[in-house]
Amino acid sequence: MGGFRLLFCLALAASSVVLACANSRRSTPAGEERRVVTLALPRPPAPGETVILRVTTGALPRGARVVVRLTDGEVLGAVSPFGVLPGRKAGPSMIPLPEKAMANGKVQLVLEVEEKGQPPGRAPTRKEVEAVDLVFVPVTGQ
Amino acid sequence: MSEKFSTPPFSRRRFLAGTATAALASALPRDLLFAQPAPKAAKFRRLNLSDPKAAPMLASYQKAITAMLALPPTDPRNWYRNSFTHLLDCPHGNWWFFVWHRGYLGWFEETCRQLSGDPNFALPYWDWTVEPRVPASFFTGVLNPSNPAYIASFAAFKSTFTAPVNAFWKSLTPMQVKELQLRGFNSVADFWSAVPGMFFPPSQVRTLTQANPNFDTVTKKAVSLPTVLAGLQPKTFLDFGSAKAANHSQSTGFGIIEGQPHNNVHNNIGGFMGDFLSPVDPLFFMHHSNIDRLWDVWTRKQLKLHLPTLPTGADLTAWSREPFLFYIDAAGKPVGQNKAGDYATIGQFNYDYQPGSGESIVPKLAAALAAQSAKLFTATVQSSALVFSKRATSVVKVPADVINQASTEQGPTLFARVTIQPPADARNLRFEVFVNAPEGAEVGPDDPHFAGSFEFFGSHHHLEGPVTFDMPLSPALRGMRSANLLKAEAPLQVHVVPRAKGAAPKALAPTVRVQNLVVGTF
Repeated sequence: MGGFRLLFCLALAASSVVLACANSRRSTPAGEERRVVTLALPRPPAPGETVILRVTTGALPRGARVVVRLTDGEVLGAVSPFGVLPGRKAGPSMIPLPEKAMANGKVQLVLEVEEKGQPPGRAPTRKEVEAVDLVFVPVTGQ
Repeated sequence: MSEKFSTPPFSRRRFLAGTATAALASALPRDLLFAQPAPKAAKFRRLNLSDPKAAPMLASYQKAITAMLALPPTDPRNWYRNSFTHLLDCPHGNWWFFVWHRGYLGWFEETCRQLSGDPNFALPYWDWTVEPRVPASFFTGVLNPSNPAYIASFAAFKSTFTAPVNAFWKSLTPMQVKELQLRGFNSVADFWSAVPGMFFPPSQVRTLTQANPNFDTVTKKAVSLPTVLAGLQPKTFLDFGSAKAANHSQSTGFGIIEGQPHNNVHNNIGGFMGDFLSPVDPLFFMHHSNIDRLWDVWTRKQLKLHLPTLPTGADLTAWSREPFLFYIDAAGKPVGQNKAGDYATIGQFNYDYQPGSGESIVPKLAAALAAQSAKLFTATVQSSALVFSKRATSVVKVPADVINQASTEQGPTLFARVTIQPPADARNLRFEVFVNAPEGAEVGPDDPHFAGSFEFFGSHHHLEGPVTFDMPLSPALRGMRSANLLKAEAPLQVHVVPRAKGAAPKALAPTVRVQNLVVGTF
């Protein structure tokens, strides 16, 4: 990937270093606190660049996916591994990021794991989502 | 007439000898000039499956599937045996994803042609951006894997294929064994331990049903036009395709097209489509035909923009040499083209696509490039006289966004087209070009304001008319940007400074002047 790593926010485990995790309210369950990720954009994208979200996942339960939404509920995309050999990590997945998601140099996201036959929307574990970051990618435009 | 150009060291490779206009072509790094040849009129056309014109293709597809289901399990073209090729060899989450599936579909298409008896057969594609649901036609006949022509239970499946798989395993070449070991298939036992979770009885062949064929909200987003266009935007193969890997059984990362529409469609349909035996569901080939179409769209976009269509340099070598050893041809024999590079283009498969979603990116960007190329900004020549070591300065207002784009590695190249009336004898002269050089400052080749220089080749010149040369300014702009010296909003000053070399005349004639200067991009 032509971009470089900007900021890594392990907002997914209490023991990890949390750089910026918003909306952590005491009244919310622990899982609620950990599913919200805030990333800082160190600079605006240069002309000919776009910002893409990179979600790095470990081994997910069979049939599970990590859905990424904006805080208003709009779906941005999902990490839905396919063709990954059993026991191996899915690795990074790229998800487009609309311009409106980058308000005031920050990107705030909600990550939830959805599993077939389970109640929707649980927070991912640290092993399921290892990292979330932003990368700059040279593009030709649309 | 020929001129020689030189620039600061960081960009010297871009400027070789040649004519003034040829210098612009040579300014492109060699890798940027590498491109796939534009295809001639294709023999076969892959149609949108929902186009009524595709109905005969779907009919032929059903004939081929029926024939493949009926082939003995010892025949590598048997419907299930064909899906084993995917199970044993398919790349996912790496940069061979697109190319391996192109080869897999291409050979399968030829087999369909053979077994359907339709010499014009071409795989249709499923444009899920327009049709985000399982197409109604795929709930009928053998297009539906719950049809009785399919094997109904895993027990029957295992009974049918145990002996053929054993025989297949014994026939493997050492290279094939090595490839299978990279995937964790060390023996035939590993095969049979993997398969049970991938096989589905008729009631479970798909999660989506005729009564509920629509994608869920998340998958609709994954196949939406904004997501597809975002996936087609990257400027390099490494950003468009999925991540580099050591071998094609390694998953190292999913690009947008693979990770979003490709993966989510597979998993939302579920059943066979949710795992390595996905080619058991005839939808697989419609889905991957669309994925291959999007690679073709991206490739044609790159060609229009004169950008590379494949990995470059050493990456291209590594990518091209990856062995693909399990393809079967229409006669049921192993194919001779067994490297990734053999499928870098559509090549011998000789098909093209009816336009579909995402196609708009090709003409739109090509038009933008053409408009950009045609854009020239005329400078005001403030001081035209060319006097040794003095600046002849021209000033031009170039939009800030053009300056900003041209000062990035990925942006267009900004150039100055300078027309001068040279001296009759141009021996031992060099003309240096600066951009926005501070007044009175000495500007050498290492200075960020130094754009380059040109001089005339040959020992004896007698020049009469004016001479025009193009001098790329982008390297200087990038240097100025790095040094925080670039003011994109300010007018651009382009200075031409003649220098004497060796036995040059002591002064230049008053007729030696800058006549005209324009700035443009390409």
